[in-house]
Amino acid sequence: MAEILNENNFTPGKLVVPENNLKQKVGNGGFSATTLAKAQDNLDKNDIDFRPMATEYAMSLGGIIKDIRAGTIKPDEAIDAIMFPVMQLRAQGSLFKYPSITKISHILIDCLETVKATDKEILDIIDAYKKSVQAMIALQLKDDTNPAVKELCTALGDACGRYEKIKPA
Amino acid sequence: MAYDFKRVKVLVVESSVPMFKLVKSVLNTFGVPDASIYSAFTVEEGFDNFCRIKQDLIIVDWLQNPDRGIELTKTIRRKKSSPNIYVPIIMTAGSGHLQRVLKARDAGISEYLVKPFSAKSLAERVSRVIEKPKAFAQCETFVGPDRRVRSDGYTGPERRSADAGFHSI
Repeated sequence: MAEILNENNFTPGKLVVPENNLKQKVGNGGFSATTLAKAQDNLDKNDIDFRPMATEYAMSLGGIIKDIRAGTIKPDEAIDAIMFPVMQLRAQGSLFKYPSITKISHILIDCLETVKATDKEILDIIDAYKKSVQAMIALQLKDDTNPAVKELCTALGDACGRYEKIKPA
Repeated sequence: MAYDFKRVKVLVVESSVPMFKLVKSVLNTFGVPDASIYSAFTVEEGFDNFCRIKQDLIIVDWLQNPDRGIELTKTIRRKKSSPNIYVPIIMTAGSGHLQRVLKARDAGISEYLVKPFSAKSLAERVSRVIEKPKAFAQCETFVGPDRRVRSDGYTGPERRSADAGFHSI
């Protein structure tokens, strides 16, 4: 990404206190407990089917892995490319009733955030993650306490642990 | 008495329609009218929408890599064509890794929210931009809320020209 230049002339630097337009509009009082409970209820009761989205993210991840292996994505740009679908899967899993996918994505993100460039081993781990997500979608394994989900998460966590030992950040 | 969001306009820049719908449902429950919640799915669309509508609050996802949500934040803070460089920006992302949060902070976000989120955690971020907005640091290389967060007091020399007295605008 090309750096976005500051087009305003702020030399020398200064601190300013902007007018608080938002406060002027909303007034005082905060959020009531009833409003928060209702909002959470709306979040919990959404009936959006996550499977098509999750399938798409998993497929795009597969495509990225393929491109990296083919050399069309540079290893130092590869992590950024991989992070997008994984972050979306982590973000959206629990929101759309698949805490299992949030859980396994969290494990991979924890590992990827310390990796600077891809190699064969990390790509194998990402591939295993992708297959686990696809299995969760196909078998509708939603609950993160499901024994099969736990097993998949443990296996991925162990693989990440081994990778971090071999190639520390 | 609670906040009244009837006059507040919000721009939600999301990665997908279902995610936008979910965020919108929470904002609706907070009291933001349907017609006052605007959607965008790209940086360009988001900035264009903001230039036309001049929303009071922006909620932006990290978006597609490399760092498109970051790019939108910098565009809003740095471009001369931006209608309000001080608008509160809440960034949402599927990772709360320190480096990522710092990157978002250095782009000029007001608040960071890790997904999956709860209604309460979104309300807390909104409350913070309403009740505890930070002063804005403006210099050649950075425009955004003051990044100094320690409350135990800075004891070094004050190097900003305006630190002797904040500029109110």
